[in-house]
Amino acid sequence: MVAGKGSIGSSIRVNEIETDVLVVGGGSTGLWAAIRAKDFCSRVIVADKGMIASAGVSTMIHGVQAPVDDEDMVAAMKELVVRSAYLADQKWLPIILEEMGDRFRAMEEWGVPFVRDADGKLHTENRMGLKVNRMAFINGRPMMRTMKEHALGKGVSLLERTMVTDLLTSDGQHPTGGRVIGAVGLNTISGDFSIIKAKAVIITTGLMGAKRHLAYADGLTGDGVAMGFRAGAELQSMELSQSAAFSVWDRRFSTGGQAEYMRAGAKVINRLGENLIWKYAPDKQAPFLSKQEICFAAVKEILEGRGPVYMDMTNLSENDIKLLRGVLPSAMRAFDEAGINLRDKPVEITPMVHHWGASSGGGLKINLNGETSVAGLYAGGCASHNPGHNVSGAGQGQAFNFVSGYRAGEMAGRTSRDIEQAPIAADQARSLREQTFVPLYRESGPGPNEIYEAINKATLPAEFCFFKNEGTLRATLARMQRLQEEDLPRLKADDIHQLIRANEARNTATIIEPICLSAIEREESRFWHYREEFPYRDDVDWLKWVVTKKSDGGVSVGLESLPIEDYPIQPEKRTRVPALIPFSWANRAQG
Amino acid sequence: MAINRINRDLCDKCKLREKKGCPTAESCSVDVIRLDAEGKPYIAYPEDCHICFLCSRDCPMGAVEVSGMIPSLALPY
Repeated sequence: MVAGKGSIGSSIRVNEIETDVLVVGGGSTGLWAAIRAKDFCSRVIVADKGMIASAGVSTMIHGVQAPVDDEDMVAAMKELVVRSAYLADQKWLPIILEEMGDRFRAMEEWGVPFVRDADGKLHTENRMGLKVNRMAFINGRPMMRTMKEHALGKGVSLLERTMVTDLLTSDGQHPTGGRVIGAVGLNTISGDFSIIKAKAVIITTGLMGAKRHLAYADGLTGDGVAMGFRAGAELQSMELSQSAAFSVWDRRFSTGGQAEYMRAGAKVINRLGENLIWKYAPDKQAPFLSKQEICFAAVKEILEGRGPVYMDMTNLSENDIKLLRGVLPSAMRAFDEAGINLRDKPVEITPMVHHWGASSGGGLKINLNGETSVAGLYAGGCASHNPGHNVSGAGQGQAFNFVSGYRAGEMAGRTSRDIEQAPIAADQARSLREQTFVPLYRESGPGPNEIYEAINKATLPAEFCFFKNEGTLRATLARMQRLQEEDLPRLKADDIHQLIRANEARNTATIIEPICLSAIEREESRFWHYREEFPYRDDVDWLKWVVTKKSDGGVSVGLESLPIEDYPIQPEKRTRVPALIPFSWANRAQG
Repeated sequence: MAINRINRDLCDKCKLREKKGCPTAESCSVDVIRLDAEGKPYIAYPEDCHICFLCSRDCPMGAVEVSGMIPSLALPY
């Protein structure tokens, strides 16, 4: 054992904590939830694996939906509904658009420095092809610091460097027939175990990732979604939840800025020099492809033998590059380190799925007040299903984070005033403690890195990420079920750091199964979800949401129809629309 | 690759700036950086670095070196 690293320890210290509301996950959603909950109850704790506002993806936010003027509200909503392929929950959307303004104004009052022009006007831009909805700009680090200070000033308590590993339930069962009454977790450095009694628990743990070293999101491992799922909470739209980009460059490094390069005039080309946007965009007068469509197009080109695919910035001027350096200093530094002059030659790019649970998709199913299907359990932000099925990269996801966090905090805070803390089942606290720590006591077995390798080997290929069919999905499902049955029970950790990783790996493995089953259920192609057998968007039969839930013996899958006839914005006619980027594995190039 | 080096000679434990805690260690969301017996940061778990650059950005002494190259990439195609 290397000197100075956390030791296994022969005894585990147990802390017992009691609170009214426990927020799990200290990003922007979690802080909003805590700040609002504190208006209704006296004790609010935010638990986070890292140091809030110093670490985490919320510190890297750069944009958020700009408040929408009242006169633009109808047009803004219509634009988002159309871009959601009519799958958006039109009860949620007006709430997000209207309440975003209130959240924005409150944050400015606290001192969050949204970017303003020299004349003091809020700086906003159209992004991702949206014309009505605009994005405002903010540096996530000062935003999070301001929000943290505000939360502390209101008396919110922080439990940092603490991984919450599972939920406590009133009947001591997973899944529960009762309610959530708290959680257990451990300190990421010392391993001290905490039993946290709470009248309400809000899950705001963010995206679900598999430690791919992309998008700076390795700390987000689906912990809250997995915990909620184990406790019996429903998940929604898991098949729509992935997020991908041209994240790997020159097969050596990962960097962002795809949207900025393309705004500057970069082209995406294949080995033959064909411009993919021109090739696939339906409107040749004003060609546009969404980020997801470009990724699908690139993967299709690679699989059909016309790869590699490149980002070609050779047509950019020196001034264009200078502007990019100002806007994307970290991204451009990566090119410098790699010795790449962007104006010299095109750079190979590899589309990769970063994580699941992004703007377009899935997570814990919530109602308008952030309540999950399990009493006492709430959720918001990227850990919950995103009812807007938003455009990624234009700030709608962040708007949902703020609004949903606020709403969940309010409902949890209000409800906690009217209930008594239920007693913890001693058996459950003990069994969850054993489950959390058991990897430390195993003599041998796969470590968390091996589990993640297995997860990624099963879920990185295009057969799972991009061009799916029932066969490929069932093959992935079978591999993940074997992993859960044979490898996870043998998971071994050498120290507390690895123990955290082991608990994370268990969570990530847990959420792949509902993703597979939801993808098998949805027999059409929409957003990030493509089915080879059903290469069309089906507005006749598939204006539905897929809901999954842990049940005895497995996972149940159900469908919920959109109440589209009750919605103000409906498709002119409900048809089947051929997929823009169709692909068949029979056309895969050999060799 | 990823986080390469923390130059201990440059680290003054932020005492001149009256900071509590090490901003470099606190910026890491994946517990790569720990504090040693002297209270200086060191790279404890380099294999978990996800190359966010926050540690190098947050160190006021420029003591942290991070490479953007990913040590091992399992590309699907």
